[in-house]
Amino acid sequence: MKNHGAERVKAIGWNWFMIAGTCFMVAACAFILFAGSAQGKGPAGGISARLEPQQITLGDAAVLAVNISGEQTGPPSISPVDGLRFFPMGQSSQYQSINGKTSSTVSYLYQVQAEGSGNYTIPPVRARINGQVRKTEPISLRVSGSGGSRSLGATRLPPSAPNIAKQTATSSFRAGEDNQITFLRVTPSKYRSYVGELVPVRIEAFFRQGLQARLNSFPVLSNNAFACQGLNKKPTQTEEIVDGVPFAVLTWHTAMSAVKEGEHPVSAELDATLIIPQTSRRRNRVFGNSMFNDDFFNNFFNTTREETVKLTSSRQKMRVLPLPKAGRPENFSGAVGRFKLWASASLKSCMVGDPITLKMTVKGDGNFDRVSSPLLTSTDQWKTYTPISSFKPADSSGYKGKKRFEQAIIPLDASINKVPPLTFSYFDTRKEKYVTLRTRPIKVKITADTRQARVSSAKNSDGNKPPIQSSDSSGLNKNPNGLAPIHVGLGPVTASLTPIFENPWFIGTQGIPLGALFIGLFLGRRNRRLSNDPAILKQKHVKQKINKSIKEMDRTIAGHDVPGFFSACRCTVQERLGEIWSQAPESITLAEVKDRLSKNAAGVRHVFENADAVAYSGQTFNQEELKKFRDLIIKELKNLEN
Amino acid sequence: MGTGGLGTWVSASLQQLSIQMGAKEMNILCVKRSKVLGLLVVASAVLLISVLCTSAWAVQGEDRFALGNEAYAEGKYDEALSFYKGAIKQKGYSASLLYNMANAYYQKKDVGLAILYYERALYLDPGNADIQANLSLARKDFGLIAEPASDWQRFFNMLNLNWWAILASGAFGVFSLIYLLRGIRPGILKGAPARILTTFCLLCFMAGGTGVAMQYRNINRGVVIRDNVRLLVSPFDSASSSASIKDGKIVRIAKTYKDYLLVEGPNGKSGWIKRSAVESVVPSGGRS
Repeated sequence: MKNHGAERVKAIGWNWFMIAGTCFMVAACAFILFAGSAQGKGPAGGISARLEPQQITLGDAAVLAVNISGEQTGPPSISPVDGLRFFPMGQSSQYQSINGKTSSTVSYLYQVQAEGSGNYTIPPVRARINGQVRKTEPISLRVSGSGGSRSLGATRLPPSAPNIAKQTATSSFRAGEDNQITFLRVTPSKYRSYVGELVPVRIEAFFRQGLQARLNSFPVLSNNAFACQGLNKKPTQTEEIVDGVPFAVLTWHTAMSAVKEGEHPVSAELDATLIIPQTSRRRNRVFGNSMFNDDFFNNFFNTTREETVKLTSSRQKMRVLPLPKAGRPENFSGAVGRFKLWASASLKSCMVGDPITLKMTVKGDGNFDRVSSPLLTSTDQWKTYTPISSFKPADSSGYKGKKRFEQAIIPLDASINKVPPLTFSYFDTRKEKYVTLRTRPIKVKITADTRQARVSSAKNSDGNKPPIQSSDSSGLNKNPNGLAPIHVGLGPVTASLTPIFENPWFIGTQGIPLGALFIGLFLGRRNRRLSNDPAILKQKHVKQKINKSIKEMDRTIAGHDVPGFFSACRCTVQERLGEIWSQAPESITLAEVKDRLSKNAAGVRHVFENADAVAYSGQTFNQEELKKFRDLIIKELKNLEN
Repeated sequence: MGTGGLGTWVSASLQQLSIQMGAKEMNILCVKRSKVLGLLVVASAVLLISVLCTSAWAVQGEDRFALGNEAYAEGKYDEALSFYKGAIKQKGYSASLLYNMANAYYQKKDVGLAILYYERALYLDPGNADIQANLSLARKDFGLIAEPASDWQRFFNMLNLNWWAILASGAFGVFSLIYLLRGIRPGILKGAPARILTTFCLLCFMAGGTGVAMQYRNINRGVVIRDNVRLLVSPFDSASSSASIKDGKIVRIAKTYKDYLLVEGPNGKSGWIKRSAVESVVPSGGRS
């Protein structure tokens, strides 16, 4: 019984294992097919947020750009942050329709202002994209102390505006600016610089509040002693009170560098068209202060005139010093500012001939366009390639940032144990002297190249035809390894490079095992159901017993055991009749057989009678007669089955 | 065996058969023998002609491949490439053929096409040491950097994409067959051997599926075949350039728009690039 239970548990476990395996296979097939069909369809949508700059001075503002892409997108939701205020600046949309699939990318801009200095974390920005809520990573903002005249005390934070954030500050008119309805102002961060040094500069265009204007150009520096960059960017718009007069201010943050020494005026120019409202003449008529003198009617009846103006800022004097010749390093490329240098290698251990990517980063503030690569030059030990560079500005003017260089270098000697130090020289504007930065040597472990030996041994072990040796007339194979020779055998050929599972016949063929699996599952389930049916179990049990009795009959015939034979005959018939009559086989007697079978099954009755005769009178039969009885019994059993 | 030989053999066999049979059967056979013989001769001729044509076609393809190899050995790389292309047209693609083409392009210093054909050869035979070594050498010589393959990738490079798919499909087929047989005859396929076989099928299916997934990730790769191609910010001729990309670089093709492809370079930079400047490693009209 215990064994039977254990077998049953084992069978159940095995069935579960088969079912789990089947489910896994079907699921994996479906995944592979769907994954294959989904390949190349592109992303379903996403959200990203960028804050620039991530470090500001108290009173300044950063811009948070939230980009949402997808087929169905909703507006972003920004959780409030203590000490930070978000002012929507507007949004822009871009629609794409590729192969009939339309998706949009919406960019939302927010001005972020802080009420106090410190480190802030903007929590993840959430948006509903294609019915699912997506979110960005948290963004940190560092706000340093008061940045000069634009202190928090002087700045009055405005209420939220639907499109443009307004920031109100106070200042005073400079010489030549008072009584002007519009003027331009240039404010360099300092008035003493070196040739080539990048100086952050702020250019502001002031327009009297209520005045409408249209810009016809970007501001340009009017002196060719300076080069300026980044003026073609969109300015920020704020409000400012200048000596009690409100102005709308457009501000460009840029940087300029002097190209020649001496004292040069710094000024800028900007072309704009002013749209000046014309007061209605109706107001000056004899009716005096009529109801049309109301602002509403003035605005309604007033007309405007356009006036093109060239705004020119007042001149600021900038003293430009030459870079000292004394102590100028040989590798000085004109970089002026303050920088730091790091270097790293992509691999710390490799074989001779393996390419290593040497990554160098120059970070700081200054004229990054003159920051050239501190590259490694080719030697007997290293083969080097021209590096590629990329610059990531940390502010809108490109004054602060990070320039990265990547250079491919190849070790040619197994005795190398380090990448030599790299040097980079610049002129430090604070120390007012040249500084040479040097990286630490990078430890590397170079081993001799064993791949060619492997290639050769693999070819030799193939036992194929000897390959044609390639003639290297081009002289390309200066590498001692050389180019492996061409193959002389065509090898297995395929008509197309398309993956086999993209062929319809392959996909169709998979239906055969899938169908077999389902049929097997159905049949297995049916078999399990049948095997648990008590009637079928009983039938099976009876069949087994009858077979056993027939074997016993054969054995007794062979041994001429007449009582044993008839006992087996009786058992056989009792089993069959017990099954038919649903009765215990042992309880079936000759009387009952005679009574219930009547004239049918005469053979059965005959066997029962003879069995009794043998049992009680000791009657005997020879083997031939016993065989006839056996055949008779088998015939009767078949008749009873029918 | 020629057509005449086959006819003689059939005739002799029928004659022998007719001797063995009774007179009645022999008469029937004699009547039908001429028709059967005629049919057999026609069928044999058709079979022979088709076999000869196929063989000639195949031989022609093999010849072109061999001629290409000879031209290559003589340093006539353009001529070799012409023969190899002819062999592709006649026979189709093989890893060795693509590899030899790549070698020819390498010798011509055409880095983009050399890398492209090495990659195609590797697609058909990912574990081939010659192809790997030459691709590595080409990258090294032309200053291209590739991420080293991980141990897992090396394992799944034992077979190509099609063989992994066939392995997974075969394992699935055997598993299904076991299940079907167990359904038809519950008594068979029981015990430890059946379990081992089933587990083996599952493992093969998992390995095959993973191999397919690993290699199918690279199906949308392309190779830049022109030097210093500009990456544009939008798919128009007048669009500004965001970066340039060297020939021989591997890019991932994300989208297409008219004559432009949106590609993503190895350093994560993406941009639009002229379709003619990039060649898919696995050319397929419907995919890219």
